[in-house]
Amino acid sequence: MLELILQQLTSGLAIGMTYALIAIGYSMVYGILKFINFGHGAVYMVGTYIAFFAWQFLFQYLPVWPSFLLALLLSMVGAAIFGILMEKFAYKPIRHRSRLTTFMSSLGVSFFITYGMEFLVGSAPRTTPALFEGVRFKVAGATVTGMQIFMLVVTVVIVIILQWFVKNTRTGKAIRACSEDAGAASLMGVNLDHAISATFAIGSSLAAVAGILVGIYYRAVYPTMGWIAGLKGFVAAVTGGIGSIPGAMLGGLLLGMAENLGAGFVASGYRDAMAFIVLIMVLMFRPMGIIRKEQRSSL
Amino acid sequence: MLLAAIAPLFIHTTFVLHVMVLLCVWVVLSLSLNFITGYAGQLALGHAAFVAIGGYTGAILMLDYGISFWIAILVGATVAFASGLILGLLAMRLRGDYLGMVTMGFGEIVYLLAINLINITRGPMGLPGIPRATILSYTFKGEIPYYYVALLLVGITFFTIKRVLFSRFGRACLAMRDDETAAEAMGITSYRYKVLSFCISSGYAGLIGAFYVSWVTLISPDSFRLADSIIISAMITMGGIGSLYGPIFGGIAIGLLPELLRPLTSGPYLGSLRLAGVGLLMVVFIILKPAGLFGTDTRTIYLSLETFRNLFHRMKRLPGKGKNLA
Repeated sequence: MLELILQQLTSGLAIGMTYALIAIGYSMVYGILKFINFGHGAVYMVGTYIAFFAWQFLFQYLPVWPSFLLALLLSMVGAAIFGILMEKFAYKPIRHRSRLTTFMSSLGVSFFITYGMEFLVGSAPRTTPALFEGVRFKVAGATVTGMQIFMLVVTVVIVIILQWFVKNTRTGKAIRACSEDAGAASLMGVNLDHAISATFAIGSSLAAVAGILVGIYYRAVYPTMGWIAGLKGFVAAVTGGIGSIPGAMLGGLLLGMAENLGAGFVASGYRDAMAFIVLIMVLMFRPMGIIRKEQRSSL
Repeated sequence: MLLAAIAPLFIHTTFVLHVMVLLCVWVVLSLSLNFITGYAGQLALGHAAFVAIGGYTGAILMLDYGISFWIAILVGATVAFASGLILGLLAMRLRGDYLGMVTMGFGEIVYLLAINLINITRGPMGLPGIPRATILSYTFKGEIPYYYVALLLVGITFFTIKRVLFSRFGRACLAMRDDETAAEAMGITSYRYKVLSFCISSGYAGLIGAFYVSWVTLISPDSFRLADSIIISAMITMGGIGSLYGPIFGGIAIGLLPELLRPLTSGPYLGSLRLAGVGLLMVVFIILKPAGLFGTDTRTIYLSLETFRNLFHRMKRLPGKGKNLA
């Protein structure tokens, strides 16, 4: 019994890390523009496809690891460019309007990208190559795969780098200043457009990393993968406290574990429903999330 | 309206009639979503869930209990109304995009329930062989009787919604949409109005859901996905969120999209292209023409309603008992 719980928790930990990476994108965009960027799930999907095709191409010439890292880098850059373009075309023209309008626009964008991609590549899932095939450890009765450890390590490293970046670099400070008070920040000479572009670039490249990790973990890449992943990333961001990076991390972790415990002990068919039950619970009982970032509740 | 009523006299192709019934279904859905999003100003993205709830209720009643179509659609509407009440009581405390996300999540939960409650819904296989409607021992055959029932439902939806909009309830909803604080100050308990308008909107969705399953004689979870909810949102965005006639136009225009795209592509790619087109239309309209094609200004609605009301009052006063009216 205890082993089963432990087993569910470890796999929840691994998948929760990818939710955290997605959630950071939501959180940062929400911090600066105060709207839920629904198109984030679509960026995640596009990033995954870039990585998948790049990897498939490079795999013919290079061994597994160099080709994987190169594809990862390419997809991060590609997704960042994609995110910036999305902001320029779909959100910038309506920045002065209500956040609900922007949300609706992001819904449309995500629809357009997701199904445009489905039109181009077809809806059938594609199988990715494997990393760490057959690597398994026994930790206190639970089996941990190499891929799970890899997901955990990658996410933790990325979040530490991001934390340092946001705290110490000039761009990071600009982003923080803009999310605190965009008007005052631009009066102090911060370029709001640059800060927003940087936010979208960071969020999108993290989503691409999450996408490729999930793609390898489940060994499948398909165009509508961004829907549920995007929704779960949002739930993770809200659970942890939207606008906060450690909060996103914590939210992802909790969501991943809650989901796996729910799937293990209630019924595996309701795995995806768990996220929305968590969302409704959090919004009802603690709408500011676990780590409170804003004084006023964002609701 | 008259043109739509006599159209079947000239159209004999089953396919065209089929598309026309489908358009009626879309129009009812966009009209009802417009009630909660357009008039009460609350973003709801789980409309398809209520269609599914009404549809499954109707299907199970008609299949397992042999209840007639007419009662089944009413019960379907009632059950959808009740589930709207439950979700509304929970979710209507939230605002804006958060509400949108929660209602979307509700849609996903209903979908997962439909897939997983195999002993009730038979899961992904769906419930086939739902009986067609009967009226005075005449069983509906083909598309034409369904077309008239669908048209009747469009008419009922349109006129009841228009009537409600014209009442104290509708005015309170509009006031709440335009300025919630001011409306509260005027004594409107906005939470109550939000929940009730959400229920009403869901009720219509349930009604048309039960109609739909009898028409296609099959229900499966895949008919009511998140994508369908967003298609309905795109319809009202295109027609004009909060306009009276906009949703009718938007429902027809986006409902016709697959037929317009059919020459360009085929097979499963049609579905993808259609949804991509819906997304593109939505973004383009929000950025370039946020008021939609028919505008969102309620004053025009009120002007039209005001003339009707004046006329109505004048007619009542004519016999000379104006005193009783006050």
